[in-house]
Amino acid sequence: MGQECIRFSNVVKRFGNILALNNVSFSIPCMGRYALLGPNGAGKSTTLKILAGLITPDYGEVLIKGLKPGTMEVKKILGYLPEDPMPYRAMTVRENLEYIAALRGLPNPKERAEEMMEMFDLKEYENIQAGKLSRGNIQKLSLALVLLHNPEIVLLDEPLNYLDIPTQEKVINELKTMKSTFLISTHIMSIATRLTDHVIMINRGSIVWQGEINQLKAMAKEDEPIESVVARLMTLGG
Amino acid sequence: MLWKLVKFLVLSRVGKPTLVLLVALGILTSLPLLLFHYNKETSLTYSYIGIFFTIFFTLSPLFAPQKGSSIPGIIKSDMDFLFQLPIDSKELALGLIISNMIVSFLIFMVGISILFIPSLGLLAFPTLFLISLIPPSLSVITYSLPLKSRISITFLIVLWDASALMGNPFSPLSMFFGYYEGYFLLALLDVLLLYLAITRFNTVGLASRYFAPEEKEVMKSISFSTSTPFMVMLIKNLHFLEIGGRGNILTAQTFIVRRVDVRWLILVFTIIGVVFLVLLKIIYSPVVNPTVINATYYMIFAYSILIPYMVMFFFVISAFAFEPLWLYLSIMTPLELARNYILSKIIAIEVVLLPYIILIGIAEGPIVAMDLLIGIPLSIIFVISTSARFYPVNPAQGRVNMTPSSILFGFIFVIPALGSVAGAFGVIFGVISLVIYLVFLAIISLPFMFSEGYWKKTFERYITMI
Repeated sequence: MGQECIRFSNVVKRFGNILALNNVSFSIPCMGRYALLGPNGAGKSTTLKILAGLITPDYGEVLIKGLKPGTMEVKKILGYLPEDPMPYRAMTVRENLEYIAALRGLPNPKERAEEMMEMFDLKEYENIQAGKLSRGNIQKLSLALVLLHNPEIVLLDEPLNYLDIPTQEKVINELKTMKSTFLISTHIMSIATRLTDHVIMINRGSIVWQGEINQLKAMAKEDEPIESVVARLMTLGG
Repeated sequence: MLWKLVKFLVLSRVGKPTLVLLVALGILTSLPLLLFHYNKETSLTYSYIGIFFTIFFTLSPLFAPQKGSSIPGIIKSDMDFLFQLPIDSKELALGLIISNMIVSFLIFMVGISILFIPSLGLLAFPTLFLISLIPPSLSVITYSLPLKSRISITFLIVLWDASALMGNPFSPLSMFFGYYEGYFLLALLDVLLLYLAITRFNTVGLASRYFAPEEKEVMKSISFSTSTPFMVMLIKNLHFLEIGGRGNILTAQTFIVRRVDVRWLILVFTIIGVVFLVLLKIIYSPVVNPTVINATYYMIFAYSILIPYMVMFFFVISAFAFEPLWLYLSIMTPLELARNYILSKIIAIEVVLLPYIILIGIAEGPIVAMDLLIGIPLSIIFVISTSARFYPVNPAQGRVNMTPSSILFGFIFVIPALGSVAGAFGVIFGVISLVIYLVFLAIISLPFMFSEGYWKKTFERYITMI
């Protein structure tokens, strides 16, 4: 196992009376591709927000390459896409990309914006305000904004939401070529199998299973789809 | 059925606690004014203000978008579910208008009854109720019409309203000058508008406009180069400012952000400044024309200070409502984001208002100009910081129901605006009152710029809302 890039140790997070995460622990090696799998309300998005440094855990230790989330060093190497993201509504696609590139201090924001628009087929919308784009194009723009700085660690919350099938394929291929550490939150098993090789299964704020996707496949009975295995594990864990 | 529909529509936009708060605040604000009305002779100034606000509300549907998901009074849930129900379209229209009318009336009771009661006494309540019907019905009548027709219809009504100022007893607002015909004509106008709205209401037409694509190219886009985060944010704000944000248009809380070119804004405020300069220095100057009643001069003077505060409010009320915090916070810390955001907004707004402030300074002296120059930035800090914390907006929703906190937040703005007017008036009687006001404003606003914990908690609340 290589160097550890993400450590999430005994994390507890409450929102009032709701226990969102209950003593959750896992670690991800650098260059690892992990899926965070679980039903709605399982605690997936909370886990990603804590890793992105947007919210703080009530208890436990969280480290990104040995550093605390939210520090400048981590911000420079991390890319986080929330669920249902909304870029800067009043700014055009191009302006959004250039603006965030300039804020990140990337050299030549104009050129980088151009590259990202090419990558995500956004060129024809470059002068359209983000608030007026279709939901699918907003998702593409958001992915472009997150990947602008070639982050070493990528946290994606339901990245393929709203995308049509050809775009999903394009995004999957782009993500596969990246040499980064991935933690992808999803409740769709096929996305997990296409983009990752490890699964952390979470339900009601607790980890119910973690391991390789191949192990998961091996647990299936004859002709049993992998989704049934996942459902079975989640039911047992829940 | 209609009653059930109205009840459902009202409660789908405003919760019960909010309704209770609105009624309680309405009673609290109107009772002392009723005593004032029946015990003292009222100045005509209130009549002018009453007419001004009625015209403002009549004009409001003109400024609301007629395409896309911001059609006033309609929320996406109406399109998705309500319009699918087997309810007669006329009943639906009536339900929507009546529910809008009820909520608008309650809001008016809290917000503007203080301006109507001194002139009309108890009759202010039926007047406000009748006025509350104008914006929603006008909105339903005109939403599908071309802009020219919308402007023509609206201005016809505005002209009829405004004719009360010329002493026309047959204006729907002539009651402000003692003509009882006004009440009858206002009711007649309401009946006419309601009839037209019901006959013109068309769910299919509304839905097709609601879901119409809004893609429209921005002609002049901004180019960014690598710099400090503050400079990058300042460049953005110096190119365009957003207007709108947390606002209520016809019951449904609508969060609209419009891109407004800063150069146009500078021009517009220079013109307004010149108008005030002429009014204060030449037409109504107590020195040049001592026969003119001082009350008019002081009213214009008060407006000359209130207007930049209102402008400031419109520019900052969208603060953090649509900001991609998930992106910003992956670049800078919460305190850095708050500082960069607020300071860049302050500079941009001061640039827009600077010619206006200079002109007011020429009209009223340097101390009044200093009041605006220092008071506005401090107020920006105060309004942005408090609205971010106590009136957070979930960008994914776009619209939210009116809540008790959003109503109470509206009163926060009163502190800097009225304080500034008091401070400026204080200049006439002694500079010390202005100094006290500015020190007070500094004490309540500046600590926000240094509190890491405050902004961390504020943004965490936003993040967990999404």
